[in-house]
Amino acid sequence: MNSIHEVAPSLSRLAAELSGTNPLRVPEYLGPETVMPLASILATILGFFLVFWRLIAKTVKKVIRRARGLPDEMPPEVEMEEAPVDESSKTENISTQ
Amino acid sequence: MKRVIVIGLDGFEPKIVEGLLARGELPNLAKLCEQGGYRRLKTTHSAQTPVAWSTFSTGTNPGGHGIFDFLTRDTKTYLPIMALSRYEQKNAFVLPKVVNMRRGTPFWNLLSARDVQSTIIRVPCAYPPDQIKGRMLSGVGVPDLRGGFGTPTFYSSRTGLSSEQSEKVLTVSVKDGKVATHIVGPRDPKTKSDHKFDINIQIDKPGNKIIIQSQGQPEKLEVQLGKWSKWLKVKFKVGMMQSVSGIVRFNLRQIEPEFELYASPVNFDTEEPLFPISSPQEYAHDLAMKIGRYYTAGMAEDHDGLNNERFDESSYLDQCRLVLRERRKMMEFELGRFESGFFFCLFDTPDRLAHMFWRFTEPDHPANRGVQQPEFAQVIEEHYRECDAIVGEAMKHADEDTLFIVLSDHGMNSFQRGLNLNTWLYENGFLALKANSQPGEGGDFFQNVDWNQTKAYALGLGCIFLNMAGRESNGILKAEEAEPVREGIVSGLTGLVDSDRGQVAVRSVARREQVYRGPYLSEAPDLLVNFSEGYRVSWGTPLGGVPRGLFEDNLKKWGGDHVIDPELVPGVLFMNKAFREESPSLVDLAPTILNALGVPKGAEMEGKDLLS
Repeated sequence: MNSIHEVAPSLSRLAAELSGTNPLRVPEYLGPETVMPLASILATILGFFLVFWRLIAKTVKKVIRRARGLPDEMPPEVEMEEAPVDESSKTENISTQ
Repeated sequence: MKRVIVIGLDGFEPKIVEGLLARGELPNLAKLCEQGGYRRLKTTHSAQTPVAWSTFSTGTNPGGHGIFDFLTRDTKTYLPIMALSRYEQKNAFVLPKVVNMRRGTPFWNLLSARDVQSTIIRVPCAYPPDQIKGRMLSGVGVPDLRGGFGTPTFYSSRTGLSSEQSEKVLTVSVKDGKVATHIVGPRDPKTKSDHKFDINIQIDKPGNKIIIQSQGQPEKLEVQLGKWSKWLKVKFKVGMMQSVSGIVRFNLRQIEPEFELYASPVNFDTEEPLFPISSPQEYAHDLAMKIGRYYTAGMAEDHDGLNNERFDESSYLDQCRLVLRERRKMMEFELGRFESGFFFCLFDTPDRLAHMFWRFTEPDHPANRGVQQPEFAQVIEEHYRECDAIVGEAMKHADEDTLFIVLSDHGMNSFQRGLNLNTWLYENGFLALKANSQPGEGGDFFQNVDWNQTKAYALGLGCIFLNMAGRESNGILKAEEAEPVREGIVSGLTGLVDSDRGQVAVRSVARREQVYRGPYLSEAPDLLVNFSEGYRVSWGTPLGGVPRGLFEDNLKKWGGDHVIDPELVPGVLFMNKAFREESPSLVDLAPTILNALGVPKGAEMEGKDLLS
């Protein structure tokens, strides 16, 4: 008959092996107490993105542009003064009539 | 056909066009005429931009799309409201959204359903924009940041200056060559006060200019005397972590003896519009990155500034040219990458310019007040020549496989005399005023009207509504009483003579069912007044005024108009393919374009393919 000292290591080895196949391993069990805070955190992150996604996208874009050494994205300047009318082309247009 | 290109020239008047064509001054349009043809184009009842372009897009009469005028009325309060769009907020937790009041199915939706791409620039009554395959930028109907058609601000050091039509006036004081003031932003719906954006103005007298310093973009903006500035991007703080940005231009009128500065209505920011003005939403931003910031308000031209005499004709002309150049840039940029499908670009300036410069073509126009300015007499024709050059530029993108169309929604005519429609209704027993009230005492918004005794009232540009029981909140007319009242108004107004001039002011009055049919007929005005040439509804009528006297001279610089009998103000139609020439109408364009692109016309469309 084996003493308890001899059996114990075998039992603990068995337990260790079984735990490898057990589908209800403690770290992987997602009960309500785990899911709810997790969902809450995810919802917070998602909500934050939904509210500020434009700002975030803009900031990310800006950071990338700066990292690449490019200036901030700006609409091109529009010239306020009109170019002088090319009188020769005007005449040409009319004469094609 | 692989492609259809449509260039819209708002308010392009056939009589002017035909004169210029005869003189050989519109070479590109003449070329189109030779290739395909030219006809006058039947417009809508009434001949107004939003009504007519909605008919162009849906192929139905206004009864099929529900746009009858710029304005309609709130049947609960009788107050005028914008007819083109409205804002909805279901509850405090949902963001407000804008709803387009143009109903019906625009033909580009049918194109999208068949995977045909469209590029549509500044089409009226598409705010918010239709979700299409391709790109769309909204036009007339997009408000300024205050939610109206455009409210400019006039800064003056003169005291006692009062606000004129659709504007804000701010009295400022100049201290040590500096002015501290603000830009007027959107109204706070809770406090009813205006949001403000602070600016500091440094006056440079020797340089004939000012520098506007602010936290906007750019931080320092130079404005030369008598010139339009570049855009200033401003941001209004409207709440905790909430801000609204817009863009504004300035025109410096005077530095001394009085300081006077004009600020345009604050347009939606091109990069971050308050509400969507393009489809896809980022298109407005992307376009700005390519061509620069641009006017986003539907009414881009600052006609109120000229009408209120806050700047002169030359400045208005400069601004119209700015808008035209900007639109041309949009067109050229988009045509440069246009491969197949439908392309549309609308140029509004022919209309806005003719409204303000028509009077120079008529020496006897009351608005001239006896002063002739011959330097402006040719402005409209010169502008038409510029438009012809734009058409020529667009024609370069049309090949054998392209249907190329140039059209206008309506023409233009004279506006010398105004009829006070509500006053006529009052004098003829259809509209009642409260006890001890007389015409001319109440101002706008039907202030002194006694609704319990009123049978009919006028609002908008020539619309008359009956005060119907069960429809209007204080309606008194039963269904069986309506027709005798309508008959009384029709017979009384038809042929109405302006006794001061001995001219017939009203050609006819149309009952709504005579000119409209379709699902939105019940929203239409009950009667439409068809004015003669030279006449229009007075300035005091559209917002519900009952001024003194029947007729009045039009002394405003807005001296041309087209809201008269639609038969007198047809548009123009040019096509590069031979087309059926008997009385083409705006309703024919949608089926023609659809058919050219191989898409069957919509079931509710009323017109016919002009090419078949």
